[in-house]
This record gives sequence, structure tokens and C-alpha cells, in this order.
Amino acid sequence: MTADLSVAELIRCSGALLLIVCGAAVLGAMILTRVDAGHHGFSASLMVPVVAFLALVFALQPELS
Amino acid sequence: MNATLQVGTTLLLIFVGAAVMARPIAALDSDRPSRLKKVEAFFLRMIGDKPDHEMNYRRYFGAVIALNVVGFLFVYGLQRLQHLLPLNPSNLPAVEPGVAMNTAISFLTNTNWQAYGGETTMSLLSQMAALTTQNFVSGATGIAVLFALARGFTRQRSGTLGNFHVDLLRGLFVLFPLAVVMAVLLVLDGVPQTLTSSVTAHLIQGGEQVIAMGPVASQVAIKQLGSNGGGFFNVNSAHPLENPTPFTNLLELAALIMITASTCLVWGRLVKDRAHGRALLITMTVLLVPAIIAIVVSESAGNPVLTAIGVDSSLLGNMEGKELRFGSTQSGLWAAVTTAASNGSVNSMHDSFSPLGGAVGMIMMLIGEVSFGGVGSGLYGLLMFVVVAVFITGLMVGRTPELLGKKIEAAEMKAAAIAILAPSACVLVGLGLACVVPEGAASVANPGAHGFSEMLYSFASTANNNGSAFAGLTVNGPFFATANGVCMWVARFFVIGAVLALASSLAKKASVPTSSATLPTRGPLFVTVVAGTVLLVGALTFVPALALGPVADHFELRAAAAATVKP
Repeated sequence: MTADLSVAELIRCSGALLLIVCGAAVLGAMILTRVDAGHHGFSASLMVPVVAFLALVFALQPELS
Repeated sequence: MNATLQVGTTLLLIFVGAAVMARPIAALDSDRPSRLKKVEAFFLRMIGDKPDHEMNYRRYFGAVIALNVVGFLFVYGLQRLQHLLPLNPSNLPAVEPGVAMNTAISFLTNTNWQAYGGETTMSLLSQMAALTTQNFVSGATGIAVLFALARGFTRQRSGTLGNFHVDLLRGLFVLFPLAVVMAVLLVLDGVPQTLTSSVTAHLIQGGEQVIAMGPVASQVAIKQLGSNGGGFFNVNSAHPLENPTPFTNLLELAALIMITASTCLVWGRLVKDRAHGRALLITMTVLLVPAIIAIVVSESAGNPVLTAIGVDSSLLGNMEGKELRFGSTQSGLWAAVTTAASNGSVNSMHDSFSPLGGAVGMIMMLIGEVSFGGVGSGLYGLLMFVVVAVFITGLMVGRTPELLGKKIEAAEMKAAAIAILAPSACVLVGLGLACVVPEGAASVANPGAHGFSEMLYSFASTANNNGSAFAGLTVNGPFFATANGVCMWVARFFVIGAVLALASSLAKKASVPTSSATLPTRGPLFVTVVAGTVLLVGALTFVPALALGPVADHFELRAAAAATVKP
């Protein structure tokens, strides 16, 4: 079926999408600062959020898991 | 031998990575697991759309434009208000309106031309929330348009092209995990990822030096993967904290075109003709490899004027404007790849390249960023040339040409011609105006052939959404800011509009069976015809401009070397 999204709805969708990407980008950058904090000696515990995220992504893609 | 090994290793890494990624990326369009569908549906609910909402050409293109208009306002607004917002530890003022507008257009068109110095202009919030966000969005937009174009070939008598929001999310599913992995690798090799804006070093000889820092790794990762190129620091990947080691250089270089290389193989899977996808990848490679050889050889030869006065350039080559930790081979390789790939990040200063080395970079942009090019955009750009190629060969045998089972007729040719000619027209018109308006001549640091090259490079870069700069040209005046802004906008959205129109026209048709008169879309003949079409169109359009710029510059340099007397 063809979507009957009005211009206002397209703009609303775009705004929401952009906020999601922005949130993910800023949150991702902040999580990664924890990796850098453990850079000297590289604390494995600081990698947990990153590894958990990667595990989630790979779990969602069976070709990679 | 050493240079060959370096180039060979890099290309091998790129092709292996591309092959590994092809299957999961293609699966996003047609064969994704139910768990991923749930994630997709969750995000679509959040934005108020549904996965089965199909869009026709007007709605799809409208959704692209709507996202970019909102993105423009978002990026512009954040820059203008950064002094009032958090994460501005250096207390930087609001970005000037002209620079903010230029930057917003630049980042949403995937050009990432930088009319500012990142560390002295942008707050950490602007870098993360405005620029990095747009790096993801513009890259994903290219992937989305490619998915829509594939549906044009595979759908039968259909009036729709899919849903842009769904396709954009799929593009983000490709970019985000790869960016996280790459950012971690960059951090491990010394690229900073911190919310501290600077540290002060106490120098051995006395005095202090303020060293700018910030969330660099997360921005560098997506700037390379998304074929964006806009760096955290002013000097981009030549900066020791943006690209500190040969390993990060290899990683950033491979990331620069790995996804684009993979999209060729993804395309083969989407249109169910994998050999066709491989042929497209070979075509891109056939166009790129001679460029790499030409730049590396040219830069390794050194400056003939310096050679004439007795400087031995045999070991290092032409090292002006290059980093010692990379040398002329890695600098030349990067220059060829970044200009071919619509990326625009640099690890050396292209204005300091030999005239012929600089010319090769310009040629790679002027042929339309189709030798790899941007994520998604490089391949759909090359497919416009494929349409022209099959049309020409169809005329040769007196039949209506076909591509992947769909007839190529007047409507498709008009769309392909717009997609190919709009950026070229921008380059030539912009360059012509720059030569006659007073601001043009006043903005050139080196009058003569080299100055002409600087202007040609500027328009080649912005009108093909590359974003790299030749330097030596003052571009923050009203003429260049406006002209380059228009070029970036036209190059991105005229082309996307034409590609989607072509996809829509093809989707409405039914496939026809292949006949003996159909040009095979695989094999050496196909590669030769398509590469020849790209080169011929480029040569017919730009040889006069190149002759007035880098070619004349080359002969001037040779004449200067011949006239130099060894002391």
C-alpha cells in the first residue's frame, strides 16, 4: 500500500528519526569515553557496555553470529 | 616493491572486508531475522511510521528532502546556540551565521567541506550531536537510495519504491556497529575519546602548549565509514591525534571505501545477479588503480626544481605538505582513494602535491565520484553511467536497450543525463564565474595555472560532494560560500531526485527476457564499456579545464626546473 503521509507527518517522522540518531551518537560517544579512560593498562571492565552492545548487534544478525 | 606491498595490502584488506560484509548488508533488505524486524518496528513506531508503508517516487523523495531540511535546521541551530548549551568546556562562541550555514549544507549533503577549524570553532556538543549525527544520517541516506534503486529493477509493474524511513534505519544498522568497533580500535591506538577539550603540556624548552582533544575517535570512525571526511581537527587525518600511527592510517584508509566496495556485491545480491555486482566492483577498481599508481609514482619522484639544485629526493620523494610518519606512498595512496571515494578526508596537503598528482585527484572527482564514491551514492552514480553505456550499445545494434531485464527508454535516459550532467554543469559554471568575478581572482593565493587549479579543485570537490580542499584559496567570502553551497546542494539532491525518478520509472515496467542483442552485464566487455563511458564523458567535459590548470602547471614546473642552475 502507498503511504499517505502528509508533509507535516514527513517532517515529524524526520525530526523523531534525527533525535534518535542524535541520541545514539552522543550516547555512543560518551560510552566510548569509558574505553579511553581505561586506555593506559586497558581496563576490561570498561569495555563491558561496548561488548554488550556489539553482542546485541551480532545476535540480531545470524549471519555474523 | 615497498610501495607495491603497501598498496596491495590495503586493497586486499578492503576487498576481504567488502566480501565479508556483503551478505549481512544484503540480508537487511530482504532476509533479515525476525529479531531485527522487531527492532526496526520499534523504531518505526517511535517515529510514527509502519514497515509496510510503501512510498511512491514523490513521497520517497519528499521524505529524503524532509529529513534533510530538518537536519539542516538542527545542525545550523546547534552551531548558532552552542555558547548557551552544555559540553562547551572551551567556552567557544556561537558559530558565525555564514560558516554555520555552509557547514550545515556541507554535512547533510555528505560533502563535509570544512570552512572552519574544528578544534577552534565547534563545541564538543556541536561535534557530537550535530556533525557526527549528520555523518551517520547522510551515509545512511545513500544506502537507502541504493536500496530504492534496486527495487526499481526487481519490482514488476509497481508504483512504489519502499519506505525511506525503513531504508534509512537499515543504513544505520550497517554504519553504527561498524563505527563502534572502529572507534574502539582507534582509541586503543591512541586517538583520544574524552569530554576534556584540551590539556596543557609544559615544554622542555620552557613555556606551555595547549593540545586540543575531545571525542575524536567516535567522529573519525564514522567520517571514514560513511564517506563523509569532515575531521575533528582542522588538518583532518594529518593530525597526530586523529591519525597517530601507520595502523590507524591503514584502518582509516580501508574504512574509507570498504562499505562502498561492499555495496557492489550487495547490489549483485539485491538484483539476483552476483556476477553483475562483481563486474561493477571490478569497474570501480579498474578506474582507481591507475590513479593510485599515477599519484604514488608522481609523488615519489620528488620536486624537479629541488632535484635540479642537487636535493636527493630518491628516498622520500616530494615531502612538502606530507607527514613523515606516512611518507609519500601512504600520502599518495590516501589522496587517490579519498578523491575517488567522495570522502574528502586528507592525511597530507593536496596543494603541495606535484601538478600531475593533484590533477589525478581532480580527475577522480570530476568523473563524478563513481570509482567507489560515497556510501551508496558511488554505486548509484556508476549505475547512471551503466544506463548510458547500455543505451549507446543498444543504439549500435539498433534495439531498445535493456538493463537487468528492464527496457531503457527516453525517461530513464533523461534521468541518467540529469544525474551525470548536473554536477558537471555546477563545476564548469562555478569555475567560469570564479574566473570573472573580482572575489575569484582576489581569493587565489598563487596566481596563474596553479591558482586556476585551486579554483577547479574547489568546485570539483563541492560539486561532487567530496569535501577535500586544495588549500591556497580563500573560500569564506560571499561568492565562494554561496557558489560552493549551491554546488553541494545540487550535486546531492538533483542526483538523488534523478536516481529515484529512474527507479520509479523502471519499477512501473515489467521485465523482458534477455536476447542475443542484450549487452551482458558481466564480463570484460561490460567492464570496458562502462569504464570507457565514464572516462569519455569526463574527458569530453573537463579536458580544457585540466589543460588550463594542472597540465599548464606541470609544464611551468618543468620549465622552472630546466632553468634552475645547480649552485
